[in-house]
Amino acid sequence: MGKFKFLLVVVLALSLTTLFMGLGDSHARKFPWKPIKVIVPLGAGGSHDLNTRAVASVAYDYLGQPMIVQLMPGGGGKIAMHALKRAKNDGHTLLMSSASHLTIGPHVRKMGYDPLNDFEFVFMFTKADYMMAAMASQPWKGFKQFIAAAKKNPGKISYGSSGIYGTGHLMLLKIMADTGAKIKHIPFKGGGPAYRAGLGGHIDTFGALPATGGTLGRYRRGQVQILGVCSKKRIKMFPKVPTMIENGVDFVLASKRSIIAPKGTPKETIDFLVSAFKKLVKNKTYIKLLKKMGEKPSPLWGPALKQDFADEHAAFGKILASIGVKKK
Amino acid sequence: MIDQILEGVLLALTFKAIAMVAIGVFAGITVGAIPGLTGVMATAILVPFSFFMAPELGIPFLLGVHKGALFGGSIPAILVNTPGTPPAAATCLDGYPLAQKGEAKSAIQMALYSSTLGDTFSDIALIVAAIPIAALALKFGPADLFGLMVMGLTVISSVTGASVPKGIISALLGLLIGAVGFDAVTGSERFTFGYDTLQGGIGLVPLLIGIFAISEVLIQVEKKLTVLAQKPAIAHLKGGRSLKMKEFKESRRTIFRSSIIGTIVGAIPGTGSSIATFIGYGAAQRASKKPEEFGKGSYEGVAAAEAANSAVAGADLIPTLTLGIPGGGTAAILMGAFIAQGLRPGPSLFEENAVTMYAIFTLLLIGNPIMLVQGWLLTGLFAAVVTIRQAILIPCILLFCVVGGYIYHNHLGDVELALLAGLFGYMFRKLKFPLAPLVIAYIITPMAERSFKQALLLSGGDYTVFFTRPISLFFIILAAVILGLSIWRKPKVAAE
Repeated sequence: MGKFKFLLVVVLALSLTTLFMGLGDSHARKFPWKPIKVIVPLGAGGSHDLNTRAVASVAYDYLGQPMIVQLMPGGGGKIAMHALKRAKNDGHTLLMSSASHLTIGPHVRKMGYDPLNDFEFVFMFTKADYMMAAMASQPWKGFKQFIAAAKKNPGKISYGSSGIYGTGHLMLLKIMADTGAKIKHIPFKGGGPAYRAGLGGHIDTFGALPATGGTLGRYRRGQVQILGVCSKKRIKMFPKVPTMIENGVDFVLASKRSIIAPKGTPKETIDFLVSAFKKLVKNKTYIKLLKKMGEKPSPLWGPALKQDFADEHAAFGKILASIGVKKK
Repeated sequence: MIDQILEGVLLALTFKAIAMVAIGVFAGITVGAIPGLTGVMATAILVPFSFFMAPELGIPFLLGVHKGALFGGSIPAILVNTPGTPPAAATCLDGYPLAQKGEAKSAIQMALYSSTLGDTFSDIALIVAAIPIAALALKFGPADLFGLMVMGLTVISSVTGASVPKGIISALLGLLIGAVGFDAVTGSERFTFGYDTLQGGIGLVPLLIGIFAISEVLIQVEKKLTVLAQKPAIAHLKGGRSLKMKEFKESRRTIFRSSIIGTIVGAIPGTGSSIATFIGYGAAQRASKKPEEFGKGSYEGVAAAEAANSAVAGADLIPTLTLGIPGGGTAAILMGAFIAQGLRPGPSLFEENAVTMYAIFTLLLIGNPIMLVQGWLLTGLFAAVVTIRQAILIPCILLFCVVGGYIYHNHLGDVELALLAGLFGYMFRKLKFPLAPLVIAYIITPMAERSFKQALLLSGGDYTVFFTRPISLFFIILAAVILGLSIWRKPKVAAE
């Protein structure tokens, strides 16, 4: 076969493939016809990443296609959200969202997207109530003494958060606004590093989730004290820990992990995902993985999920406005 | 801990995982055997593709490429006197004379055995050292971490290239590039010029593809297409004999010595296989009973060079995985792959992802016998690619660069960034600036900056905190000593 002939065959083969691919696109294919990518807007190894990977580990059985986790940290979630906004709305690109870039970020900086109207809200997997922790070895015990100490030494006691205008930072801002105490804010890259700095004694207080980093175990051993939990009622795992509301700080916050999709994703696709995820949250392996992190499924979908986001968005907007944080 | 190790080993011992390592090693040897394609370049291009595999598959695949390329480079060095990768330059010295004597096959086997042994030694060093170092580093506070980063940067800029000022300039430019994007502490935008792509900073993958792969393509394009060998390289292999046990035994000490040298050099951030190879070769010549044979076709020479350059492979990962400071160019790329897979290199890596890390270590070790078998059975095949035509190869590489840049975030802006980085990298190379300090400094910057600001926030803006904490002070003094030594010693080296 001459070189020219060979080339001709290659070109022909390539064009035929493209043609068939094109044909396939115009016909209605059954979703999903390729692996589903889930963008994680936060850093590697954090609770958000682990949660998404727990879903992905069992997703194939329910979706019929593998789920691929892609990390896009940075820019307060802005990079990831823009990647999702740009993505094709065929349901093959999704994002595991958190509060920082949907219900907090848009209040404090220009994000370039409308958090409530540019996306479809698909499914919430879990939520974990946010807590404030400190080492038990601190001279002050409990929230009241902590605030008293902070007032005595304004700006001396430090608090490590998961990042600027993240969920943990918002909690600190609200605590300072409601109690009048002045606490030093040290942002870290993700909750994990902040937590470790707390355990290492480099910072005085830090944000925590019920069991990430072994909070429950350390609390039971008397190594860590929990100053308050940001839930409406006391939580089962920590019956003795007061809520922030009891502490006099009117603040409710949970780290929520919800799948969102680009605007205009077909309703049938979203319905397919919701029914698959509803079955997935009952998977034993998945529940076991969550249990390791001290979480359990709290599924939510449809209009109720969107309402949940809208409520949180409005509530945080009000808090930030009352504190006097303005959009930059 | 034992059950975690067992779980990791079980995770590693699957057909899929071992197959991925084998594919990686095969790709690595092939790429290494093609002159002009380096291991760094291959890993840079393949990183975005590994994102779509599970961590215990994607990472071993890339590690396989890294390993394979270090051995693969010796094949053209021996057959046609052209190093396939820069570190194989020393292998030419003795490998080619051996090939001219008709001993190409046994020379390649010598290279294969010493490469495999050097690599295995280095992997064991990594496995033994990693966890204790990480455990120690876990106790560091923000000020200490900053001191460590300063020391890392100093070492990188002063040992990498021939010229200390050029190394420092390269590292400083890396610092600047790393500062683009969001400020870690205040959250404000920096150096983005309202350009969308820059908001998240300059992406690691586009930068690596540009700096390492596209710049290499440009360098190759610039060269005149030369025919590497008059007759196919494969012809050298025909009728050759295998390496004799006696010849191997004579080089045992050399292989061991070179493995130690490679491991130590590899563990120092910024130094790479090229430096290790020449130190290993020099040391072997000085210690040899037959130093006069070096350069004229000594098996010991081949063994010294190959064991040293392969022994860098595992040790390179010691500072990368335990401290988050990449050991070299390829390690910087591998670090990017770890991060993309949800594994954050640094002191807490082994605490957070113990099982995955044990799986990766297991596969790292398994990769060595795989390389041995492939090298043994497929030498002829690898030799066949040595004379592949550059005119066909180079455009394909460029295509891979563009695709890799795009699939990183499905964003065309990243491809533009990669091309720009390629042009920049090309000029940088032409001016003889080392590239590794730039990339390593770029990766360290966000960590260093955050630690710096955290330390200052905690101390209430008091700069003495870096000098009053003993660990931080230790690192800063060490950095000053290293910088002083490298500046003071340089003129002497030049005079020689």
